[in-house]
Amino acid sequence: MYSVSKRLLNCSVQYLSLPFGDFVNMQLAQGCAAADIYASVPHMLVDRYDCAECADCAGLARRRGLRTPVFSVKPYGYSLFFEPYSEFGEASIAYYRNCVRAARVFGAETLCIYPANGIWDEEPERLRDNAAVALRYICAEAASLGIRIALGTALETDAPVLRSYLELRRMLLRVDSDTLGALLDTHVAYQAGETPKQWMADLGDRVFHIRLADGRNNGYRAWGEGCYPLAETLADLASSGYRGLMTLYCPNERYSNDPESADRANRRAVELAEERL
Amino acid sequence: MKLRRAQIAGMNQHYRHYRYEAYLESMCACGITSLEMWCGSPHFLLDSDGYSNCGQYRRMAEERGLRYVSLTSPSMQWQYQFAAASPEQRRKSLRYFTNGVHAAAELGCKVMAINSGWGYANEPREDAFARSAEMIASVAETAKEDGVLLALETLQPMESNLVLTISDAKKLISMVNHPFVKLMIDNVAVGVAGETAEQWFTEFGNDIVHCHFIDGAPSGHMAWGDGEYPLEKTLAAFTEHGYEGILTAELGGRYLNDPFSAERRNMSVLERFLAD
Repeated sequence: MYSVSKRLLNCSVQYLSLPFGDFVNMQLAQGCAAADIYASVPHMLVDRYDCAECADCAGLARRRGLRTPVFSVKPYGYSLFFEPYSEFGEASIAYYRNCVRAARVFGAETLCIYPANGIWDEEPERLRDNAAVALRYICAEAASLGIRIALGTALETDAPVLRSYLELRRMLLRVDSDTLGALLDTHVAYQAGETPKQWMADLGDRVFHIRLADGRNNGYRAWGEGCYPLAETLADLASSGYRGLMTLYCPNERYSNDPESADRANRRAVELAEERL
Repeated sequence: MKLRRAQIAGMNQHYRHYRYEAYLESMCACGITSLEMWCGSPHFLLDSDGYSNCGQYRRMAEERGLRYVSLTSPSMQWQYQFAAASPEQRRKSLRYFTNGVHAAAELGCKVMAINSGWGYANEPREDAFARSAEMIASVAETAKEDGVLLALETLQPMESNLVLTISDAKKLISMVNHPFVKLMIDNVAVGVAGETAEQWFTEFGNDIVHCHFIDGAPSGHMAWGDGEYPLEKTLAAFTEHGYEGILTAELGGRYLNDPFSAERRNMSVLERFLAD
């Protein structure tokens, strides 16, 4: 029988006020054997030059028995939308290629990229051209290392393009790489007026990863604290044929004082909703 | 209670959805002549190994009758901060902030805004204070060579767990103990801490060399008029203490979609207090 609950991962994005080792220990204490790693300081520094710090964190997770099949990128000031051969464009491509290498260090199969930092006074088609070039470079690196790229859509506050699953589908066709697929983030999708059902019907097996998140107009929330229909979401995902992992993704300062309790409550809400289906 | 126009500086942080040239044009349209360079994407690339061509940015400003007066090396947008813990993050953060000082000097700035950084939630606060003080002191040596003052601002509790109040700032300044490390008022951080500009001047006097001057409720980094702070009373604290430094309009993320009208509204409020 299909189970969303058995596909859930927690994510380190909620644990950035604590050392990485504490995050690992708290996952194991919750009985989690695997997690989605959010590549950010203070846990690990990845920049356009290298990802040297990742080896220590990956080794720590491995020694303690936490698998890390999914790796998520923090955008910082980098962007897929910059002119690829400009100062910022070259820095951004170099950064994302290092993120691919960092994902490899963690033994991850999937690297999640959120397309942040759009430019509003540039022609939208130019932004799409730039993103396609950047993604080809990143996908080439990913293909050589056996990593899949899951590309999300952007909130309307973060980019003027790539904000719908239809636009994302066109981008996947344009880049034309088996390495590139879609990242369904339920908060971003619902904010765009879309549903997981629409995403799965349109993109199907091109959905490489799912972030299962509640939210409101001002950001992510743990399930039960936002405005999205959990039971309907779970039912739609169960009937979609999706067989991959799902991250309980909840970057919000309100959970930073006690991320472990927030994780437990978030997961419990999903489990209870699924039991009632 | 009149300010000079050159004391009001614009800042490019809330123009980050637009090209840098659009920001400069907005400054001209609003009658702003002084600039604080926010070294963030997509405008000015500053990191551990280098920074954008300052000569090019100076030319762009000078062609429009603008000049740089101060610089901020952002510690939220990038990977770097003053209280970083791991050796690799400390090494790269030190180089980043040192590069920030060099960029400030090349742009002609007299002041670089800094903050304490932040520590882990579950470590002794003293450990993070010590790391912050050590790195600020190291950057200050470069600042001394380049003739740039470092101006320490307080942060809000959602941003840091180190220097949030007057007493925190006194403690860190005392630990660093360097003549090129001074203080600055960030209205919003000061207001969120329940403090006033008057209290800051009473405590630090002429060691206050810079200011991020914005409205708030109490948080928010708002254009004057959008928040709740008393403008005339706040300005009086500056003028009565003979403050001759810069007041930078560090407007926040709420204005990213239309920074142009926010800048116009902010400046139209401040125009009433300008002598020229």
